[in-house]
Amino acid sequence: MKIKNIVFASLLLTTPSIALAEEVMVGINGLVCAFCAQGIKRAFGQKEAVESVEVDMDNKMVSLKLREPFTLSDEEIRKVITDTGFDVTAINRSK
Amino acid sequence: MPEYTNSRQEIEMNYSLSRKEALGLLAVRADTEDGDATFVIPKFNYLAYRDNEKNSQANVYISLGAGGAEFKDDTDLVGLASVQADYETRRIYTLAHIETIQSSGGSDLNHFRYRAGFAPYVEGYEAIHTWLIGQVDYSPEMSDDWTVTPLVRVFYSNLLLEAGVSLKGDPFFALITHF
Repeated sequence: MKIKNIVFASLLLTTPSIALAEEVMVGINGLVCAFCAQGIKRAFGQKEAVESVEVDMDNKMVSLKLREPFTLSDEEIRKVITDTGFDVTAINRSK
Repeated sequence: MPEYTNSRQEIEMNYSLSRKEALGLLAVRADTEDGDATFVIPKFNYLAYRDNEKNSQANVYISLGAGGAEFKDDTDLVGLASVQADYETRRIYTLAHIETIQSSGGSDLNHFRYRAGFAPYVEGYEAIHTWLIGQVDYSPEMSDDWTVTPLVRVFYSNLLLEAGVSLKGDPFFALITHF
């Protein structure tokens, strides 16, 4: 029983916590040139709240995985997209 | 962008101040019919129009600058004005560029360029992209003839390279990167 408890406690300590990070899908107009879209990845990559950025040229989407416990407002997202030269068509969030 | 042909070499650096404005520095050496001319021109670039659609982007840029030129052992004051319009989808690309450099001496330099190109395949964001482009240049101070250059554009990540050979046999190279 003692060994079982030790194993269980070890598992609790070593298993990463499963926090549900927020994901944001951003629809974008003008996303036709991968070379020109480099700025999107770079600009979001500089945000502390952003864990990862994926650019989907086929579906004209940028998906952001946010880092717990941070968030990014719609206004911040729109500002990054417009500053890098594109237009936002939709912002959808999920956990 | 840094650009090389036998008769004209140029290097350009730009720093974006905002979505619409950038400060640039253009240096050009051109082999004109009256002799070699070298220009160094700080300039201001302005995005006058942008249309972002789902499957396309169109832009109009205006640039204004003032600087100096070395021509026939003299230093001239020069002014620059240019307009560039482009339209692009993931499959086709076209661009028109007209630039005039007017000098207090005799080293004026005018340049017109038109480009049309297509992508033989469409790839995702992280892939190597390839474009086949036809380019037409006309610079009356350098030649009475139009120069037609088929070229290949390849880009990956933040590095873009163009290479071609004009129908007269002159090589063309260009390189763009951004940070």
